[in-house]
Amino acid sequence: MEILSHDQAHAALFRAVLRSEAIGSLSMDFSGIDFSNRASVLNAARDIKDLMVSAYNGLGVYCSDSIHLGFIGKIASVEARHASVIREMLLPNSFADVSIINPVSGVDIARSPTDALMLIHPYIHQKLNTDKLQLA
Amino acid sequence: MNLCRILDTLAEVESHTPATDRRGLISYCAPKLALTALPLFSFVKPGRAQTTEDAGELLRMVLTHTRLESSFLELALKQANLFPVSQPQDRTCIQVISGNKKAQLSFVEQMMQSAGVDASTVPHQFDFTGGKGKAPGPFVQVMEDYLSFLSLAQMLSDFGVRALKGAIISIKGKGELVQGLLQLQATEARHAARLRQLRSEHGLAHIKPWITQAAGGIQNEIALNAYAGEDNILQGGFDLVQLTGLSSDLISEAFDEPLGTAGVWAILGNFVQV
Repeated sequence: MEILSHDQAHAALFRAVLRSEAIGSLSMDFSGIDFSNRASVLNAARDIKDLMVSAYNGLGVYCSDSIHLGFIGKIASVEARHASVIREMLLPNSFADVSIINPVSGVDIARSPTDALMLIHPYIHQKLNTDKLQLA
Repeated sequence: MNLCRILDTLAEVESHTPATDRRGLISYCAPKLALTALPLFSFVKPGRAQTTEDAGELLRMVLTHTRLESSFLELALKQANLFPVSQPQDRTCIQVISGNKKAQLSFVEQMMQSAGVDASTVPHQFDFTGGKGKAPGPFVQVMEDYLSFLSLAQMLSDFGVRALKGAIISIKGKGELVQGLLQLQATEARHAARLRQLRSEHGLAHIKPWITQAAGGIQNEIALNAYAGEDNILQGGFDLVQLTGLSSDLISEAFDEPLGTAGVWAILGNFVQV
């Protein structure tokens, strides 16, 4: 419940900041998740959280506005906290193990917006693209 | 710059709730675009001049923190009687974090090298009590008493997230460095959440994986400074309590807050052996 509230706060901030430029409501496709099965739900939650973390990590290079960059930083770390907790619910001491952290660099991965959207698409009915995105 | 549209998508997928649950927001937002309003981004104006802090100073700060944390955990793992024998998973947890930290040392050093930054002046001798290597500081018995150890481990991780966040904002305009710092920050936050859970499992039930208000659950001046300002509920000028109807506890948890360079050095300074 707390994680949901945090995410609602994140969405609220982006809508407030973007106003008319925000995307419209997306319709979700969670048909791949068995909501009667704890592991199925937690696996999906873990995948989505890990994906969000990597997506935020990959966005910094596109951000020329320090306020927006600030938002990315502030939210990304809370997402990582969520990811850590959900991973622990599935498997003890997997919060930052080699299944998610590169053992050579010791850090989370960063995904480009294009790669991140590709992984988000299975969860939404709309198709989004990054055609107008430029490096800061 | 409309980068935030992708942020909006990310947040939307995660928090998906019926529009009626977002009543509080609607008055703030102009009518939504039609769903067909693609593509996702508008053009970013390139090359806008912004004040940036000296990347060298920021990276030296990051390396100092990484060294402090790495050597703290490494020394802790060498102690014979620090970790609870009945809970071997606790020691494994610290091994996971310590492994990441060791690898991060080279990661940060490589960032410095690629940015042409000299690392030779970065401190490498630390006083884990927080006493500057003189009289013992407030973190006494961190190598003997497990709960004291966990307090400092938690504070260093939460503080690391804040320090990195400050560096991310200040170093802006240097894309590769920003990305590297974001990657470091995410892993630091994973560690912080787990360490907070460990403290909660060891009797401090009120400590959650995220930071509620500005409470670190550690009563000394260094820790109070390390958490000061974490209770912020204003983001981009919006009072998110008002905007969402969520409690100020939840809103404060939903956003980690940056610490500026001066504040970070003031805290780090307590642990640097002089």
